[in-house]
Parts: sequence; C-alpha cells; structure tokens
Amino acid sequence: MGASKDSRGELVQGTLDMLILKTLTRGPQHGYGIAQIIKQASEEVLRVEEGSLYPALHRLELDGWIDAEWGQSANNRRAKYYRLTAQGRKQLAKEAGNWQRLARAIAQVMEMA
Amino acid sequence: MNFLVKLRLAEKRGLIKLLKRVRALGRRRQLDRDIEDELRFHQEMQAAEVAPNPFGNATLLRENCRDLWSFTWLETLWQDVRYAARTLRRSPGFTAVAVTALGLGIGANTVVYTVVHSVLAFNVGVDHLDQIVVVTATDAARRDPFAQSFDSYQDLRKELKTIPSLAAYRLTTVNVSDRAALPEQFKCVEISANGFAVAGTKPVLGRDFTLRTSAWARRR
Repeated sequence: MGASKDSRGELVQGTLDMLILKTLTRGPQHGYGIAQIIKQASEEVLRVEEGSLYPALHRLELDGWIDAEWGQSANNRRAKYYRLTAQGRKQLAKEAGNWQRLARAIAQVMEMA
Repeated sequence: MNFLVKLRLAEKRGLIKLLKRVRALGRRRQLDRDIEDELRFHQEMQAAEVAPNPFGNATLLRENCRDLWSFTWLETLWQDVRYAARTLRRSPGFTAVAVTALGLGIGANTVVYTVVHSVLAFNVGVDHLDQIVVVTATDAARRDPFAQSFDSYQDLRKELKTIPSLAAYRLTTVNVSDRAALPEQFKCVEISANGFAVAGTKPVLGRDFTLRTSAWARRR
C-alpha cells in the first residue's frame, strides 16, 4: 500500500503518521484536506492515497493522538475534522526527532567521498 | 465508584483504545454511516478536481477502516454460533441424533475412566507420591534406558543438592522356602537402606533398616 505507486511519490515506510500529525499542527482538517496539504507542501511529490490515509487516520484516532469531530466544510458539506491532541503533539515530537536523526545519517552516508 | 489503579502509560492507552472499540460496538450502524460519509466526502471532493485521481476500491477501504474499530473474529464467531443454532433448530431429527450420539460417547468415556481410575488408583502406601521421582539414564544413541551402577548412585547422592534424599532400588526375583513347604519364587524389590525413609513408610513386618545394618555400610 503506502502512497502512490509512482516512484516519485512513494512514502518512506512509517512516515505517513508523522506527516498527518504534522499537517494537523496547522489546525483541524478533514482527510481530503490533509491529503491536499501534504501534496502541496511537498510540491506534488508526495501523493497520499485514500487507501492508506483513512486507515491511518482511524488508527491514530484510536491511539488517541488525534480527535475527530463532525463539522461543516468550506463548501458547506458535513465533514469529519481531525484535531491534534496533546498526546499526539508529544508523539509528533518523538517521530520528528527520529526522522531527523535518520535523514541526517542517510545524508552522511550518501555524501561519503 | 472509583478504581484506584495506577496504570503505565502504554496500558492506559491500550485501555482507552479498547473502550473506544467497545463503545463503537454499541453504535455499529452509526460507525458504518460515519465511515461511508467520510469516504464519500473525499471521493466527491476528489472528483471535482481539475485532473482527478481515480478513487480506489471503496468497499475494501470501508471494511479496512471498520475492522480497526471492531472485534472482527469475535463477531464472526458469534455469527457462526447463531447460524449453527438456527440450522440445528430447523432439523430437530438430526439434532436429536447428534445430541444422543455425543451423550452416549461422552457417557461411555466417563464410565471407562472412572472405573479404570478407581481400579488403578489403589493405595501404594507411600506418602507424598507426588514428590517421588524415578531417575533413569538413557543411552542417547540407542534411546534405551539402562540400569545405574552403585557407584553412580553414590555420586548422585553426593552431587544432587536439590534432591533431599535418594534411594536405589532394583527389581529381582528371590526364592523363599522353609522347612515345611516347597520353595517358592517371588518377584521382589531390593532397596537401599534409606528406601523406606525416602518412601516415607514403614515395613509391615519386621524392623526398618538402618545404615548400620546395611551390608554396604558394614563393608566399609
């Protein structure tokens, strides 16, 4: 599963949760909005498919890292909005730290002379 | 009422997760509707894009989401049980035969075990039977138990600190005769001097051995 089959948009395993949590630091958002924000912020490189997005959202909701509430979308439709919880914020900090360490390590290996 | 339970964070999260799933169990229809509405909203928003991506397998996705909230195998099991009950009720003849066959089978089995148990479980006259074990050695190559020498018995007595007492025995036959009758052969057990002490019992006739009377002790 993961993101788009297109190799350009393939997500690194286990980073989807982190990206969702990060997106929600900008405020409550519905699933479609989250996918859009990730797509735009990554300049269309990362495409999150609904097939992996919604199971991830529901899992995060069960884990208590995000909360959900039904609300009105911009075009006046009933939509399920997700919100970051305090625990989710902590989890994001942890995952972001791990990610930075990993990215730095990979960069160091790749820059090896 | 309050429960004074201090949970570790991971346990607390697991418990909250469980509670959420149990709560979802009570409003399954609502959950189904919510998941459907949520996915339809996404689908419609996506379809309105300039170059829309095709939406994947909606049914599969709906099921995947729902499975996270439900106790799938338990619910399936419950469905199976109800289906079985319905089927049995529809064919009372088959049900009667099946129940009778099972009843007879279980009954006969119980009778056999009860009889065998009461016949075999005679009192061997040994205390703490559950604490008594037989130590044997097995030839690894031939997978054959073989008799232990008296020397290894003595070594074991010295080395086995976890076993409070160790006695040796062997099965043999003896001839017994007196002046009046013809000699008779008996199967018998020879035991080391501490045998009765290990078994925690007393001889029915005569006196118990002591180390002093043991031939082995006298020889040294």
